[in-house]
Amino acid sequence: MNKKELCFQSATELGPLIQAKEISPVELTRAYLERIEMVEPRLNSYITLLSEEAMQGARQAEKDILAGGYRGPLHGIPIALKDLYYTKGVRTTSGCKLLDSFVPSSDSTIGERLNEAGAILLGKLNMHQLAYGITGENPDYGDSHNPWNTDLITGGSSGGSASAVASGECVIAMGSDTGGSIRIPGSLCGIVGLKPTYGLLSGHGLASLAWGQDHPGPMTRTVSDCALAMNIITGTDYAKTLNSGVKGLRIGIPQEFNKMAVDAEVKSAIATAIDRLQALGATVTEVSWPLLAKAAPIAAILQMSETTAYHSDLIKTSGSKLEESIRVSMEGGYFISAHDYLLAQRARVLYVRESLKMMKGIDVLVSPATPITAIKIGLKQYEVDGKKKHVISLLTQFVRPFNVNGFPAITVPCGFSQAGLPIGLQIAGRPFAEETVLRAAHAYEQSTDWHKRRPSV
Amino acid sequence: MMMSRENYLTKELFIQIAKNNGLTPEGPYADKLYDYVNVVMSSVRALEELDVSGVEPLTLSACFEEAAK
Repeated sequence: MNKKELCFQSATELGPLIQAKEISPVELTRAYLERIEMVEPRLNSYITLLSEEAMQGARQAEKDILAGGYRGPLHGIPIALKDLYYTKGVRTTSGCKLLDSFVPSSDSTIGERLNEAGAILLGKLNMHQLAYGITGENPDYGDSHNPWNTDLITGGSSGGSASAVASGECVIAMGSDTGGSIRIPGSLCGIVGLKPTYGLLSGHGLASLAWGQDHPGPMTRTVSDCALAMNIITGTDYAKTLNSGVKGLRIGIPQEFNKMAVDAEVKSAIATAIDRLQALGATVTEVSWPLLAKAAPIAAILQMSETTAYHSDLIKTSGSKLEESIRVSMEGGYFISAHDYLLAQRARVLYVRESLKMMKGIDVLVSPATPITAIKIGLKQYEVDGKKKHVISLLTQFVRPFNVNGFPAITVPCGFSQAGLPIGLQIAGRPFAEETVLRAAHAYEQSTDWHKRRPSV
Repeated sequence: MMMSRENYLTKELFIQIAKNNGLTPEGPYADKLYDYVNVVMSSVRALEELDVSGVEPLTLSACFEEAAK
């Protein structure tokens, strides 16, 4: 296996090879660092690269494994963290130069779990400034670039996480998703991204965007790696039912989704994916979700208020130094009254109750993750179905509803446009039904070859 | 304080709330923020159409527990 091929192996493939001492963590980490050095000038996935620390960790892993101290399937596996995960002794910028010198004194809980499992931290990943955006553009540390076409956005806010995984710059990345920030870049970069149920993964030691909608989650090249990361982080075995198939799985498609703007190539790929799931034994029914239209206003009011509260000191001391659209959003939060915030909270309860009721007769909901493929960096509007739409509302329309109700949702590659850009299928389930979501995604993935395609970068 | 939703914030009230919160928006930026805030208020209006009487602002965890009963 050459070094490039090594960098595209999954953790579930590499783990047994490391355990059997057929691949050395040192050799693997060195291959990744060389790959990063080669592609970073074009992608800009990393804000902070930890080459020396990673090699030191790899040498220790190798020593431990040779001495019979193999810790498990992530031992010696190179990973990376979005730069809002606190890392002890390593700066954590949240993609904002104002926080360039912030060095946490402890790790995030998720980081601790991955560290205890023996994973090798390669570095901290680029992101939309303060996670307040969904394109991956960043005026402070440079834009993230899509590995399938570097003129295009990665999506965000976990843009560096998605480009790093897609281009073989790490095996597993951790991202976070407040309004689609794992699934949007996951879809646009052609990888798997899981937003677990709200509260399932600890947010301790993560810089927040909006407490009530923040969801940390794994980003990987395969569904089995995603399940593996979940196993390690939660201590629950999400891989045990992965191969159970989808026979009898009840898929719901909200009729409201059919009214949303979707690019023709994406629409066609999703229809084909649904046909494939049916061929594998799933059944499909249309469902109704009348309050879906309220998801965006609920999310906007809650997010603005909470972000402003969380970043209050930063806004007061350095607000004018923030990227202007982010400054406007953050300062705008001061104008939302307590009455309006509580109205949104109460509306959210109605929305969640309706979501739960809708899911009673079905197991999963299926939709595009994003209605379009990756677009040019800098675009604010994009035309779909003959109408110009705001990029933010377009890219969040299918993903944000699941930040508001907290249900688990995954994106898995389901095709490519004629321009060679990835398309993502979103599968969402009931609260804490990650096993079902992962099982459906895995069954679909294994019946296709989309996840085997590699960007030419 | 009751505010008209037709014209959620007058410029005077906008400046007052900004000052109360220690903000000093000036020039074209102040206009941009003012316009943005008024657009956001359309989200509030969209939620005012809902009947939330008798609905408590539960957390997501409480909603999930309620459904599990």
